[in-house]
Amino acid sequence: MSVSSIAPPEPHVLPTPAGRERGYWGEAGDELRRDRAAVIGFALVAVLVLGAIFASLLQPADPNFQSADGLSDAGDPLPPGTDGYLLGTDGLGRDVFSRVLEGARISLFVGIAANLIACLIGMAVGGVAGLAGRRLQAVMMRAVDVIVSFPVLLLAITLLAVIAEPSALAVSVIVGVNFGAYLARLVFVQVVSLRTREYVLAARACGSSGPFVLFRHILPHVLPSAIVYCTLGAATAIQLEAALSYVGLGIRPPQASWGNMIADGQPYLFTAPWLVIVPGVAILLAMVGFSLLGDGLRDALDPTLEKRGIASVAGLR
Amino acid sequence: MLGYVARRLLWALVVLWAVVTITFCATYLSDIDPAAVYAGQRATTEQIAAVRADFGLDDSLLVQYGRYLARLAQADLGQSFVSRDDVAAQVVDRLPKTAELAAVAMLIQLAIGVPLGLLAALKRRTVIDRGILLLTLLGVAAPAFVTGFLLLYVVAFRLGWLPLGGSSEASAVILPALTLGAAGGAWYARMLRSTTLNILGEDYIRTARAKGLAERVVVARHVLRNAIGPIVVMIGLDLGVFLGGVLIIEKVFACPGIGLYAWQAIEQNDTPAVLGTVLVAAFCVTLLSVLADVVNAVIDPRVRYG
Repeated sequence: MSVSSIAPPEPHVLPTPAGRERGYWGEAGDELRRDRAAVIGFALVAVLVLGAIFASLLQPADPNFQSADGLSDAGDPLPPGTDGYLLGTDGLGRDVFSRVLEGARISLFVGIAANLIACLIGMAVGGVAGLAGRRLQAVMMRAVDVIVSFPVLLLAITLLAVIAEPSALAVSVIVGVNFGAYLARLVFVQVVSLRTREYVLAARACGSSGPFVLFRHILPHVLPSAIVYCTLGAATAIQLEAALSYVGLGIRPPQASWGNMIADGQPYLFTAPWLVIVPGVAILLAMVGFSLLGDGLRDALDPTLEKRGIASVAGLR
Repeated sequence: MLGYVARRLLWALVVLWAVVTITFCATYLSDIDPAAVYAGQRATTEQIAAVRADFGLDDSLLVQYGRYLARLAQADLGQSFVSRDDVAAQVVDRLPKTAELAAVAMLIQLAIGVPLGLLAALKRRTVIDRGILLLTLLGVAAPAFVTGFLLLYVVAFRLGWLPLGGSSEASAVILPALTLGAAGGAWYARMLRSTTLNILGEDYIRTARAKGLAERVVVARHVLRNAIGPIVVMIGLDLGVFLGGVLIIEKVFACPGIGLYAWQAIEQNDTPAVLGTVLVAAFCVTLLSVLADVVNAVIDPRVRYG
């Protein structure tokens, strides 16, 4: 049967002016693309993400393999650019490039996992407290205040040194709970201001249940702030993981992470400085990437959000 | 005003109580049996049991908790498992070193942050502003231990201007303080820039300019006074954190302060010493943040009623 004989109906679409009527997210996307710093940030984050995803394809060697070829005749680490070792080798003859990629996987994992946990906690606690009665609200938000008042690095050290077995997941949970408290405040404030709006009252009057109103009518308004928050939070989480791993309370050797690579490289600072510089630059680029992207997202999505920048909490030093 | 101070102090007490409770629960849940650690590796089961009875470790959770609170109220942080020293005395011993580092770092931080932040805001969208923004982005993004190693390598090792880590010379404080101050200063500059930009758009600034005040006076009297609030809060928070032991920097530079003591305690599974330093740090942080809030309320009456 021939279909080609039937002429397709003329499309009756009015031409829309470019850049108009694209909706909130479309416009935000346009704005983001025009923001040069945000594009640079996006590129850096993309490199990190791709490096982490394809780490096993890109790694020239097993990151934990201690190769005799990877050391000089005197037993010293090889400098970057040595045949076969793009970024040199460490004190045990392991390929630094492979280890940096392995570290990217850990950093990205912590960056994402911590913020997923933070989002779940923040939305749940902030949302429920915002809709709850006065007494429950007070109890929940006071608990949040306590967590926020407590320096995160100290909390992490207490828990990781005394009870929890240090691992990427343990670090993510601790950081995630702390971030979640901040996010809960943000969500709470918005929910309280939205819950007496007319469209919310109308939805309730129509018989919608509390959770339905929360998910359908209130949380979508909180989404932009949460996205900005989590992007900036990823930078902080990566820095925290590096700091904790550096002091031996994060990722345990031989598993590579940027923080413990720096700790391993510390004794070689004056003879093989690249062992500290390479992971250091990796952390720096990841931080700059997430911060620039986060700042750009804030300008595009929610300019009223408090200028938080990278949460370089004093406790991180 | 008194009511405000009382409210803040009460809240600080609640936070401290929560910290104490968390640390207590952490010890209780820990796999490490304090009696076994205290009695030593060659102790017999009977000896360990004797230590347990001696320390009251067999009492109920609530009794132990009450005793813990009572001891803390007398500033008794317990005995180190390893050296048997009094933890509180050890921490007090190390306080001057940490306080020195904290003070110098804070001065550097302010000397870097305030001028750069103001300059960037006043020269908005010029090359100067962009340069400062880029520089401070790097300063904020670089983890302190990376900056620290960079300074150690270049200034101390290559140039040989300052001592390497672990030195007892007076100049040994400069590099760690500079590392701390560079990161903090970058952070202050970014914060001050954005608050100043907000303030420059306010009506009272237009009024001040309209009545013919010199720009210098406008900046000093009207802009800075209003912009300083968040910085004061940050100073309080930072000083509190620094006094509780500059954990990472002290490890990088081997400064013999509270932070280094905490690390040694962690490496040796010395639970009383770990929790003691954590409590001291938490105490410093909460106390100084209350102090900063009070100072802020004196400078800016709007805060009191916020």
